[in-house]
Amino acid sequence: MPWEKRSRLLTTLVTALLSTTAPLTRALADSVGSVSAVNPSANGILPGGSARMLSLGQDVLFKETIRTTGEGSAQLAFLDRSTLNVGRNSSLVIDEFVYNPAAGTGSMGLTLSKGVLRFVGGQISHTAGVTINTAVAVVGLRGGSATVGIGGEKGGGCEGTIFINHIGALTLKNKVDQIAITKPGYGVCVTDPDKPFPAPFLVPDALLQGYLGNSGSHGDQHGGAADLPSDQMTARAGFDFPRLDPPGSPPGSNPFDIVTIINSGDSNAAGSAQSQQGYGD
Amino acid sequence: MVVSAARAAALAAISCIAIGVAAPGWADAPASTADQSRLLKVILKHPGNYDATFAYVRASEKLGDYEAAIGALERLLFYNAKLTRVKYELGTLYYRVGSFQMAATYFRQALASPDLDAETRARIETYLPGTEKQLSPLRSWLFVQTGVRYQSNASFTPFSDTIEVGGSPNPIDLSGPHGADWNAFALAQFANDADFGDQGSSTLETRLTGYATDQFRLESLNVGYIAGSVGPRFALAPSEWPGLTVKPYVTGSAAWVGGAPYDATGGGGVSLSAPFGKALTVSPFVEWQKATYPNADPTATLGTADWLTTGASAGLRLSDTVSLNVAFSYRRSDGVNAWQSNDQFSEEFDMPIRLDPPLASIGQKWTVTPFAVLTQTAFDAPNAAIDPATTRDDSKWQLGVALDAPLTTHLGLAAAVSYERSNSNIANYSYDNWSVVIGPTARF
Repeated sequence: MPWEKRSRLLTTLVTALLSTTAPLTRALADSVGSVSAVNPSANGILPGGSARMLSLGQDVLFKETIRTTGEGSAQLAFLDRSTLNVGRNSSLVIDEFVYNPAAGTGSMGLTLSKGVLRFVGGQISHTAGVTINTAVAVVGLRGGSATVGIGGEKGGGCEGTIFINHIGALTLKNKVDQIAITKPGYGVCVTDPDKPFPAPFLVPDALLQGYLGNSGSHGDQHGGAADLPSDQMTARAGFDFPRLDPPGSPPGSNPFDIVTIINSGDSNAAGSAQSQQGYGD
Repeated sequence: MVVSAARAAALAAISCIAIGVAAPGWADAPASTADQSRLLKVILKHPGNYDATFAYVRASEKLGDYEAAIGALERLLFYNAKLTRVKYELGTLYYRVGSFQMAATYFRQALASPDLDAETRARIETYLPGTEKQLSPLRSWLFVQTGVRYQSNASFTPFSDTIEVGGSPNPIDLSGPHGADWNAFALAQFANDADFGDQGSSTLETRLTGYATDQFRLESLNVGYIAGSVGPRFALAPSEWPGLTVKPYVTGSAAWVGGAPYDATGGGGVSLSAPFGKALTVSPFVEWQKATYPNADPTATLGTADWLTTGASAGLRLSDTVSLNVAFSYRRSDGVNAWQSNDQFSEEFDMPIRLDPPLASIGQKWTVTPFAVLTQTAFDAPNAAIDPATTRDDSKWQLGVALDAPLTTHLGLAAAVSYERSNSNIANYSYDNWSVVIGPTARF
């Protein structure tokens, strides 16, 4: 057999072999987490372009696009312990996910083109950080949790894209400006990528409730669960039911502070008493 | 030598207590690391496995990985949005990571649930006001305690039967009231933080303290005391080093003894607060004050002087329930009179231990704080009115334990027991004193 023919045959065989094994290998290798809750309808569009209905426990793949309808929502759980709630009428792509579980490091990138996402951080956001791309700004999220919503929400007043910091710090960049939101509960409403960012504001409770509702279940929706969890189950779960310490160190939170005040008084009384006892009179 | 021995004993005692109390907290955490990873794999494959989910939340909480627990619990709300207890748990988790707005939101959602049990409702009603206060740009706190105090030696009478006067030992005059006494007292602490509105969490901090006693017998030793400070706190690197702050401030105080002015101070300083991880915060400071003493009695221990004080405190979180605070300071007091000028070193050790109260209906933890205070004061020159041949050198130590026991959101009880001993190379200043304090508290 001439060399050229042998070479073509070999190439054909290798190509055929790759074409049958590659999708499997990619599906396993590129799984970045799983679908941990889903309300219909929510679809995944795989990197090759094929669409699928999301279902509970299904792998989420690198470069997959997640789309939800007006009634759809989903939660994705990632290998680094982070979670991502995808709200109604949303579309986002998992652009990047590199994670080394041994080192607890990696990088993660998302692009939100419409709708709402709520991200609760894991290992990656505590190391290199997570990047969220939108049409009006690029967000760097370090160490925490954030909500991004495009197009306003009931009770809001932000008709652009809102970025809310829940835990940690957000850094927003656009073409002309950069801003850090380090206070939990504060957000910024951005309408134009070519203008400086407005000042962050404390997000009203009604707006926050709106985004929480948007990125969760409504009415009879149950996130794809067959058997629902109950409060009885939670009560039996063995949580500590902890008492919380007062935030910061308000007066009286450490009784030693009282001793310190009394000691100051004693110091004055002792000084006076030792003079009054007439040592020099 | 006495001071060294006392310091070693205090350190040993505090260390033993710290190890003994904190050990259970440390012992829980390492066991959960492998569990958390194993449980995550189960949950990723079978999100509806609730036993695994609850176990994952517990393991994450023990590790202090509150965000992992939040993600898992918010998933349960996807499955059943009416889980009141889960909303409460989420409120506590967001509270613990300092996300008070999310905490308040979940607390309010839980409160609105018709099936909320009485105990959880009481807890939320305890925490929600403080949670909402954190969201206000202007936050104030007030703590008040009244009560009675017993002292075994309220007159600070020395051990010796004789005292030095002009360099000669003289029999001590015990004809007047002296020794043990009771008093009624009241103290108040007020704090206000006013945000500047920037993302650096800069605030204007105002602190006020007031204290007054009414001795039952030794009325000439009634004490009045007010002190305050005000200054802005600026974040130095809010994104790169959250919590790193600097605070310049002005401070002042005035004190009365027996109804007469005793001293007044005024000055300013600057302090730095630097957190290292979640467990350790170190706060160095330097401060200058002018202290004015109207009493020109040559036997007075202290007189008008410039005080330059520097030092540092450190707070170490040993576990969820135990912390160790250590503070060291050095003060140079340059007085008008050389015999009142001195160098003073102080060390304080206290270890707040947060305990669950005996009744489930009490929403706040109780705090027991063992403490030790050590002070060494070396004067510059002999006081001719006392002992012209001896330059005074004092060392004082105090050991005790204090209790704060909130009973309701606003009312509670506080108590403290301590023993203080002063050793001096001049007999006049060597004494000891037991103290017992108890009384109701109020906080707002």
